[in-house]
Amino acid sequence: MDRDIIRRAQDGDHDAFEALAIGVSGRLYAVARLILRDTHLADDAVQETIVTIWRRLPTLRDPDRFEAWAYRLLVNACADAASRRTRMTAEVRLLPRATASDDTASQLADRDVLERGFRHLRPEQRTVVVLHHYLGLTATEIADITGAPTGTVKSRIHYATAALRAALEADERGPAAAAGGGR
Amino acid sequence: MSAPRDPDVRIQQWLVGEAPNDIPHHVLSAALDRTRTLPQERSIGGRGLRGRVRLDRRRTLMLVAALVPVLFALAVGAGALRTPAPTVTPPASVLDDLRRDGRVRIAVRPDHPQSPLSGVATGFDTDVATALADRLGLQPDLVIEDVSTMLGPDRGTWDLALPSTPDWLIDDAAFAHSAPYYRWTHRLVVPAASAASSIADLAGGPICAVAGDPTETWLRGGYGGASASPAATSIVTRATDADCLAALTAGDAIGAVTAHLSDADISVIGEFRVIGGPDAEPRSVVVRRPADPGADPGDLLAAVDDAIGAMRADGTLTQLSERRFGGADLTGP
Repeated sequence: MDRDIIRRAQDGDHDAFEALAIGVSGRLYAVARLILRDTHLADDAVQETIVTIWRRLPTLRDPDRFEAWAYRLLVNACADAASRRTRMTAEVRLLPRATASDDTASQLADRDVLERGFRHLRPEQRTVVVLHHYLGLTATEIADITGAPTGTVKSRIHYATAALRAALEADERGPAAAAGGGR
Repeated sequence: MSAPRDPDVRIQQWLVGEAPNDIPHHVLSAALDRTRTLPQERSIGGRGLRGRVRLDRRRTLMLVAALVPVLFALAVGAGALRTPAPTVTPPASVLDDLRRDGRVRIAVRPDHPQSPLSGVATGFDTDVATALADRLGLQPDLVIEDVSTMLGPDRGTWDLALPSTPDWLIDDAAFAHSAPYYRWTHRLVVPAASAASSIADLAGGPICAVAGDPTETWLRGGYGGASASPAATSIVTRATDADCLAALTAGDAIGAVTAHLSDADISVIGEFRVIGGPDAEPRSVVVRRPADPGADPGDLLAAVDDAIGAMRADGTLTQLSERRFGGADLTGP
């Protein structure tokens, strides 16, 4: 991120803030959609995050930490959105699937299995999975964003990833077992 | 083309495939529209987010302009002039700060007394947190945190916390807590066929407790400030209530103290009989004590106590307890 743009936005320059928001919003939106698995909740979470970034930007002391700080606000907004989903369980709906013409059959199968496995994870586990496997952040960086101790983050990454791996492996054993039984 | 077999690569590939390429225009433009009419927050004195005085730029300038003549008069007067006594700025109020935001972050733990529903924790504390925020006139932002994080050295990322842990385990130096909003009952159970009628009959032991739970402390002495164990008996520990009951069934223990099972749970299982247990464990709402003499959480705590009192008086707490704990009201004062 451009330090000058951040400084100007901190001083109340709204044009600079717009440039900043345009630069970061795509990644924020992708992360929110992956964590929440719900378009409307992701829309709300990202809007709240952008508004909060604007309001609180003058309190950010180190512009080099802007991106981590923005992700922290987003993670909090996603937790808030997830709690709203708890109160609106009846309204939760499945996301429409994106078209993926070059998907192989196995990738399509992965998608179903991982989608189901992911939905069984707790919100904080989903968050670390997205931050670690999608953004490629380390446990220390995730700890900085989520406010959880590094050891807790490592544990969440371990157990969440293990759950997804187990879902994939169980899915593979299913067809294999069926094939073996026919011999 | 076949999919890679490395599970981590497959997880990463799935996430990348599921992520949208960009933010929808209407989402970004709506957010930017909102920021055009909102002032930015400014901090004075470089204090933390929650404890700071929030003023926009115009109000800051007005404040400075108002303070200059006062400071000048104080400087040149030096007692010769009868200047008004300087008023001591009261510490910022945490409650006022939250009410300016209109929101309150309330931490609840992901496990007991919550349970996962559709992948999201829901339960008694989430219900109480929502009702409490409503009584405070604030919009709740529920934060799901492990107790170790919530009450740990970093003290979590919340304004109010419902750790559902006994009051006596809360560090008084770092936190203050409300009056209890419920009291959890731990039960000493034996197999239905056992002749034991009190803990004294289990002196031979062993009695099973969930490792690290306050009930282990009860058996060893020290529960709620007690200095002695309730009976001289040997103790075995297991990871969960279910493991303790399994030990009871297998004959590896002759009694067990429940950590998280309600009376309704025990009744449903049906193979065990309650013969006692420690006094009910008081559980309260927690606020942080300020790290510096800045924001004062006293008014927030008083408002929480008032809200709990009102929810108890009008039956809200009872209703929530009975709904979540199999008809039991654990919310007596």
